Amino acid sequence: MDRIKKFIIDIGWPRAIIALFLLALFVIAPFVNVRLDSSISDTLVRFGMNGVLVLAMVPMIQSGCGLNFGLPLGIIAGLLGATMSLEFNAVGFLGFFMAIALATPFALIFGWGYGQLLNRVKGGEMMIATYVGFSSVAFMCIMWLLLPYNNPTMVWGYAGKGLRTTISVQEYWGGVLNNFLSIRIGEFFYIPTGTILFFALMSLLIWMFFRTKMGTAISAVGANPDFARAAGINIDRMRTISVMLSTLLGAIGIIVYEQSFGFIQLYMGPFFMAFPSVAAILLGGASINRATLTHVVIGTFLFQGILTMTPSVINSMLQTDMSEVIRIIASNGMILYALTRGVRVKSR
Amino acid sequence: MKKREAKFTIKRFLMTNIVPILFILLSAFAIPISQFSANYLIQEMLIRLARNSFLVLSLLIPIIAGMGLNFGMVLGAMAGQIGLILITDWKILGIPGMALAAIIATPLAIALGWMCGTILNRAKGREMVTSYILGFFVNGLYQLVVLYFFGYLIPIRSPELVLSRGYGIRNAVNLLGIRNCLDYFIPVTIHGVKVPLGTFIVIAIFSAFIVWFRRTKLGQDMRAVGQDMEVARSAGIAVERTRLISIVISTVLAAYGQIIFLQNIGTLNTYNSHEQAGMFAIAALLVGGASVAKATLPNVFVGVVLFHLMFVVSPMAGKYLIGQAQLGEYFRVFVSYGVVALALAIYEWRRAQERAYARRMFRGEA
Amino acid sequence: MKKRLIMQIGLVVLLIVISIFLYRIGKGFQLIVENKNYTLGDVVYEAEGPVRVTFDDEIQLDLKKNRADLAILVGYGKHKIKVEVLDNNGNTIRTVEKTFSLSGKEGDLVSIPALLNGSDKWIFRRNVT
Repeated sequence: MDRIKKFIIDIGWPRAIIALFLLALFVIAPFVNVRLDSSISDTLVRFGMNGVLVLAMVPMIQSGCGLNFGLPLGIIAGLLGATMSLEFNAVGFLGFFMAIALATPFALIFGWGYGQLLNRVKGGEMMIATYVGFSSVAFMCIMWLLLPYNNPTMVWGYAGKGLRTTISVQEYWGGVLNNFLSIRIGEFFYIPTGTILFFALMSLLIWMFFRTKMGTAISAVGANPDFARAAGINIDRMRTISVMLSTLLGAIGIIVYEQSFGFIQLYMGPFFMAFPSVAAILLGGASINRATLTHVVIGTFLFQGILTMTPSVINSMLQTDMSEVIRIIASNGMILYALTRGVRVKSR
Repeated sequence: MKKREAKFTIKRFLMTNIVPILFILLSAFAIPISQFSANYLIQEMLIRLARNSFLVLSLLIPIIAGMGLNFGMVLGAMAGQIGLILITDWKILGIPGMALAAIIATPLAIALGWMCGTILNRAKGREMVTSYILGFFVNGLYQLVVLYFFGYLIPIRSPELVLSRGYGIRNAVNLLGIRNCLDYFIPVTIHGVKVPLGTFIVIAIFSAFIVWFRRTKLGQDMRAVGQDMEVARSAGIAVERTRLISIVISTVLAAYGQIIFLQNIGTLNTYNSHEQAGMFAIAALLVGGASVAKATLPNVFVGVVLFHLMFVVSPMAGKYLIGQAQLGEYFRVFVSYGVVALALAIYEWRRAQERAYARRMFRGEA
Repeated sequence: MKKRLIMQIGLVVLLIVISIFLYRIGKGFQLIVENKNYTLGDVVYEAEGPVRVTFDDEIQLDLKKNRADLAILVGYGKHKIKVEVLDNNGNTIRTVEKTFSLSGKEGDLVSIPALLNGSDKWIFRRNVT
């Protein structure tokens, strides 16, 4: 009994409850005529879709910049890359990697500026990050109307200018990763191997990065800034690099998301996109000053599992769609839990 | 030496008031372009002062207590909305209806505020982001109650309120019964401009309440807690309790503020009204020149006028300037978020500078 | 301590009393006002030309012959109704004033012809069909 108690305390109450809840959903699913194989397949697809976006949290948390509520900034860089690759009519893998390549300079520039700002507001990063994210999304709404795009699939037909709110990438590079080496068993079950491999590759790169000298320096800044300063590490520089890295991962993440989703969502689309990723990594066991790749994997799987399973299972049980409300309560409850917990750990 | 000092103060003045100055410049530029008449703008500003001031006032007390901008005020707004939904169902009209909605909202707001205060006491140093997320979290609970419990656990008899599936409140609730009942309780018209005097009187009473409150023992305690929690604690002030009370008061005031706000608008957007309330109130206060640590009554009223001036003017200005009203819409969204980002960043920036300065002084002295 | 508890309970009771009071004075009732021929038993009350109906000196309805309209009265308790029969030029021919109480339920119906002709059953709760 004590061992179970200790185990639960170790992994944290909310995590335990949500994991059990997910397990219960999977167990109940067959009894309420929800196909288990298609559910698991959906979860895997969504896992691949969102993995890199969640990964984008890691560098900033590690360097002590807190939860990256400014993720929309990275997403905007990704959107710029994606729309430009469409403008050049690039298709297939070429288009996908071209989108990433075009997004990279934007992500690095945005990330640098964002990092400079965050260095000046140490201690208040999260709130400012949220509003920087919001205002940049609103600013880009203006830009999407004004930027000189010409590709007729992207531009409003009647006005001849201004981008559409959703743009299909199906004809360009939609599903290139999802279908790469994908395994299909029966009618309902399929594994998006390419997307998961890409996520694994990204995770590996991040893992390797944090083993380098610079990577360990970044972790040191996050873990103990005074110690890092004493050791002669340039704190501001390390923080800027981590923010740039997070922003770049956000840009790549949204492109991966779009190739799986099949659409680019512009205008207010990226507005609330930071919150699911923040919730996911916290659900995985990260705190506001420490995050690992395991946290990313577990968190994304649990969070996306809940998102996939609750609509189908709850709906067929209660005949109502409560999934949206459950999602709001669960994800924000998770963030809230982490915010109140971080302090106690620190003050100890 | 003296010259340098003077220069410093001008720079400091610009620095502390950068946000209102930017807004005045922006309005000065946009008003002529928008081609609105002076009468129209004055009427519009009076309405918006009546509509929004109370909500903005509710933010002041937590700032005194050093808890920053209370993004958790949306909790109060939700409590107010639940009161309004109930009185609309019961068909209570006019001022009695508003008063009853406020009475129903009060215990809800106290409970929510108490919860918010307790949570914020466990997240010292990052009250703002925590209260912000808390707003989203309680929004989930609110949706659960209003969308699934109302008409199911809580009886709602009016068919025009309930969704066609038999439970849950519709997206829009018509508040015709209480619309403008407080605003024009005492009808006053000057040069064709209708003055919502009734609401102004209520706002004046609560402004006086806040001035008085600052001088009470509790208000003084709050200021002490806001300045330095540890010093206050050693002086025998119950820090946690004081902070909790400040949030409870703010939440209750926000509930009343939301009732006044919706009384003026006349329609309740069941699932959106509260979110916008928090956003706009905070932006308006910051536009008025308040910071996270200091906010006064003039900040409130100047902020409401400046912020809403921009809000009224920008779509038309966008239309005449570039030919797209949509552009102006996005522009005002951008400005309302951008101004919060800017004000928060300036505040944190200055605090970091002060800390660095203090550190240098400390080293210099030692 | 005990004194404080009594104070608190008193406050809550006071609030509840105020709430009930507000409910009673603020409750709105929808009333159907009908100026149509009206049959009660074997008596037929004939509708008369344009009438002006005023409730509580505030709400005014102008009804032509064979028309009906809605009025919303506020509060429980006694209400006043004033009916003026008008000629075609808008001058008042005759005036009838009465006070009445509402049934407290939705959908009370007022029949102007019955009222003008002195029937005491001019207001009743309409049968909801």
